[in-house]
Amino acid sequence: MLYGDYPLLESEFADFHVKLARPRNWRHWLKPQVEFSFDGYHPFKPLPLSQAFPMFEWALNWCVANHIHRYLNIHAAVIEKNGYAVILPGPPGSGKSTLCAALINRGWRLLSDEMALLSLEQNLVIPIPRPVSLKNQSIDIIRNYAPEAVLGRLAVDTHKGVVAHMKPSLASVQRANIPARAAWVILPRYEAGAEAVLSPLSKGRICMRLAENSFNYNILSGSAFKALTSMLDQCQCYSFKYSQLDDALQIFNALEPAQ
Amino acid sequence: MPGFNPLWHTWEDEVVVFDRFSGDTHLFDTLSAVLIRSLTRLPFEQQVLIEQMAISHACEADAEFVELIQARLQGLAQLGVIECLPD
Repeated sequence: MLYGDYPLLESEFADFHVKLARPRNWRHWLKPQVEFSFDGYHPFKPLPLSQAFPMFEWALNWCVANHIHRYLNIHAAVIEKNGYAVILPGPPGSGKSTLCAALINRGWRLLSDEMALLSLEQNLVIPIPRPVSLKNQSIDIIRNYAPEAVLGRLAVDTHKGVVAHMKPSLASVQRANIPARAAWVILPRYEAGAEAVLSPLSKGRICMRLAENSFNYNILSGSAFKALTSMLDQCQCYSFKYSQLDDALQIFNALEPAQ
Repeated sequence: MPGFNPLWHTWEDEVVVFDRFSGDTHLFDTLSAVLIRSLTRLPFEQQVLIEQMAISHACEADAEFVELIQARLQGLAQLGVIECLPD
């Protein structure tokens, strides 16, 4: 359901060979579990079978974060409109996934809800649109804000609480091969009752924040530094405090790229 | 530090520096960046460096200025970006 719009490739080549399967032991029947394997290797402990889908998403994030190093990978959501991308870094609980889910239900394209993949040479953000992970209160918030959104089954009692995934828009999937030029880095922070406010942040501080929140900055070393600083040359940087999604939409829709 | 050959990038009054030797990235203001660049070219006696900084900033090397530069140098040494050699 959540991957229903994705093409099924016939090529034998794949970046990752992954498998979700029930263990071949007594846990196959009693409190059934699911195991994830990557090229025959089991990097994680089994989880309850009811958490199979979130496990798949988390494990795929792990595969990309640990093995795809032709791009600088920054822990952030990324959305796009008119060819320009907004990078939304933020720790868990900052509201970035909720904000991302809301905006892509109002005309923004999803590039990723988890990873900003930055090309090392071309100052472009590479799309990797996958179902958006929503947690706890965010699930009902998005259900109310976008009743037409397709949400998968709830997984309860995960280490992140209650988790559900939202299907990305058809347009996001269809345009998965179209990169975007980063124009803004915005640090979102949900605060109950807060007026929506964009506050400028210095590029130096954002640079340090993005480097710290990168999965492979240390691996890519000087190339990562050059790509990151070059990207920030063309970006406007802000912190963003909000409480109402419609207010956030208004502010994001009014963003203009620097000339 | 010997072999210190960093990558630099400047935005207004901020300078980010990537130390290729350690893999660390630092954020400095322009004063620290000038100190680092000066010491990258040549080692300096601290007093000579302070006097040069005072000249380049068109100010007096008074006690406050000396304390400022000394504190900056100490901080840079703690980061491993410069090394204080024994007298």
